[in-house]
Amino acid sequence: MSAISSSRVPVTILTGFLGAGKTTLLNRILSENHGKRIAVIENEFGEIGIDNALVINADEEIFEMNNGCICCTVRGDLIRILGNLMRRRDKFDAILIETTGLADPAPVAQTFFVDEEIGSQLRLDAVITVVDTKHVHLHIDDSDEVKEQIAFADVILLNKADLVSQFELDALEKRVRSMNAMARVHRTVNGQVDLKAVLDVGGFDLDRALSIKPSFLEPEYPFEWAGLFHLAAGDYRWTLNDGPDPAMRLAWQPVAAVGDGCLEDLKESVVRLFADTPKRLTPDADLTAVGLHELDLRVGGIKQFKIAIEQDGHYACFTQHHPDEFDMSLRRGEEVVQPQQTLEWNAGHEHDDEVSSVGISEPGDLDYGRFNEWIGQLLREKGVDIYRSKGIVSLKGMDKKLVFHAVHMLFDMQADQPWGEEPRRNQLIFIGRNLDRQALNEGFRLCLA
Amino acid sequence: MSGLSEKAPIQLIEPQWRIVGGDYVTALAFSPDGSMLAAASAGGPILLIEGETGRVVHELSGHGLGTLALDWSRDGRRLASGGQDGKARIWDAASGSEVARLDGGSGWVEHVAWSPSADQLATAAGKVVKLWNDDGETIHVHDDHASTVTGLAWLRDGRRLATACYGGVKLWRLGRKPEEKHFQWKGSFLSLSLSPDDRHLAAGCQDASLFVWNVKTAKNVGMSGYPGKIGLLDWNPSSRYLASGAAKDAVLWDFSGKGPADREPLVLSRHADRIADLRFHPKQDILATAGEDGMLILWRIPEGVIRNLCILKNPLSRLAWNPQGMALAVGSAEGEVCRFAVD
Repeated sequence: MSAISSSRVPVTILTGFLGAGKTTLLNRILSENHGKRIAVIENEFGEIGIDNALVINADEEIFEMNNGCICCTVRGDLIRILGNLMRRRDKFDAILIETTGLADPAPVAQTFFVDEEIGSQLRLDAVITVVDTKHVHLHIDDSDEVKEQIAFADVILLNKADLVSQFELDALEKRVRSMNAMARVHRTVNGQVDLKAVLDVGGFDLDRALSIKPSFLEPEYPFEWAGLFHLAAGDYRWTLNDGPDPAMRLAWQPVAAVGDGCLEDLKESVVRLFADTPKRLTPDADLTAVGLHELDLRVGGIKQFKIAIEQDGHYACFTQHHPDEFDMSLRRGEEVVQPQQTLEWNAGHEHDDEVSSVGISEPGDLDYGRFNEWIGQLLREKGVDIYRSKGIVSLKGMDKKLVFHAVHMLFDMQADQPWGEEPRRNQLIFIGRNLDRQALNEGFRLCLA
Repeated sequence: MSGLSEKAPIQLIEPQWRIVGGDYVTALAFSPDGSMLAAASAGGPILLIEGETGRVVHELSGHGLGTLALDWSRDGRRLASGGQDGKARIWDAASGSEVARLDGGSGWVEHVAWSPSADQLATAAGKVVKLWNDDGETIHVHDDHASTVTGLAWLRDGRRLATACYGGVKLWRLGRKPEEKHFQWKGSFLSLSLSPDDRHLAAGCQDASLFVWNVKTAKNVGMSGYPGKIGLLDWNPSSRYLASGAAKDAVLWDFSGKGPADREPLVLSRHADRIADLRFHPKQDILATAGEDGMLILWRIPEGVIRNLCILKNPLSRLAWNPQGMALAVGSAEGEVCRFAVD
């Protein structure tokens, strides 16, 4: 990109319900010794400590546009404020816009697409959404604003993480990710987060590669529980009673590096392990071997599986179901061995959220004409429900990556870096309401050259 | 246009004087007799400059956080200003002293305009338009606006005032409620200009369209297809031509005869960057455009041929003709103010 565009001042949009911790985060950003001059545009009268910052109060003025896109709105007040801000001699390194707790982030984001003067001087960097992990469950099911704020985000802070259990946090993170697979999620206490995670993130940056991780696209974990055991050499057995399923998968492995969060670290590799074909075991069989097992539980009553430990050490066990469901335990003799650490992944509450993400990751080259037509038509027809979309695609006959992003129906697309050595691939993500995964996949495939 | 066979040479012009070192020039206005030039800055201060020599006579403190608007009283004795401190101020031009400080009522004071009879001042701040008498007392308030007022224009009778905001243009008879007329269009209007003959109200829209209403009949004509929002409008002295500016283009509409409806406009496309200001010559059919590319261009109207050109180092922000049309001044984003002679 040219020097002009990189000199555009980054703008961060901060959203979140009243009380989620936006002001705390703002204060933290402002008080941190980062040497940046920051201008803050606020909607709510908060208490902001200011030394090296300018704080401007805005009265939200949302205007509908008659540009053929029915959901297109802009913030007229921001256009005036930002326009004036750019005229000041004391230039700012960053601008933060705090929205009201109930605000839909779309008008703010769309302002940067619609107003060419603002777009030429400023760069929308990212939408940061602060979530009150303690209270979000009160709103998340019936508040469109909460859903929109999560769906729009490039970065989500699960704040007040100290006020809820690990189990609740995991469940919330899982749900948030299922709504928005694109956002980076951080767990925070009092808005304590590395500023690099919230400032100059490049969420709207077409130059930066998309970081869509395949595992984010399918945030379902194939296991519900993990335990870390410290075991002396000897013979042990898993015992189970009757449960809700006639079979259960389980993976067992020694752990070399033991520490806080080691189960969490193992998680991704175990996800891959769970994709293997399991070894099927009937009761009384030996499950000592490393790998994925499927325990046959069809026989009624208490069942057991043998484990022979040859060396003292730490061992991790990931199970498809929660131990409580099968009255499951590890025993030496008759004595129950307690795990040193456990982790749980909530599968109990399957929220059928109307807001979700659909990711497409496929090799192959696309036909530009068909792709352009498909995206154009898709956003014209479904843009009201598609909050954000992003993608990097591989066009037939083009050396460079084609990158695009959109907010509702407003759309920006351009040629980016050459593919070079990197394998050519198409990665797209749509975040919206009532997305039709199958139709999106089919539409995409029709664009393949 | 085709009748113009000879290719007119472009005359290059040089500034007569230049002042450097201020802040982004947000407003520029010659006094009615042209003897003084007022230049307001984004930093706040307002310079009162001797028109002929460029000598700074007074530096007024202006408005903290930035001055946004200026207007001279018809007798040239007083200068009104508005700014981001939420105030309008009235200055005595001769002494440079502040004679009144007026509370705009809501947010920034973005527009100030003296009535044609000069005994009343209108200010617009947020949704609130206030009218003040000579002693700085509020005499009327018109606050029934859907959004921040983005334009203000007096009619010649001095008893009616037009305001623009989201949803259209309102015509107020001073002190009466509700408004006398509401020229409605569901759009975000950013600029307002009344033709000198009071017949047409033109308003530019955020979504790249322009609307012009006939003040009497309320009939309107809408123009679209602009490359961006329309923040700049000016009528020529005879009210025949309306110039509008969006992004890098100035677009000229002819209102003679049946009006612009079935006519192609003249598109003046020469600037390499966005046009920051445009103004018609007070007497002749010449349009001046000042660009962020640093170019000042004088166009012969209606041919659209370039007559004069000056290329400055910094992006330009504002321009003003002196009332005699013998000179014009430009301000830049870097705080320069220059004056050019035009023959």
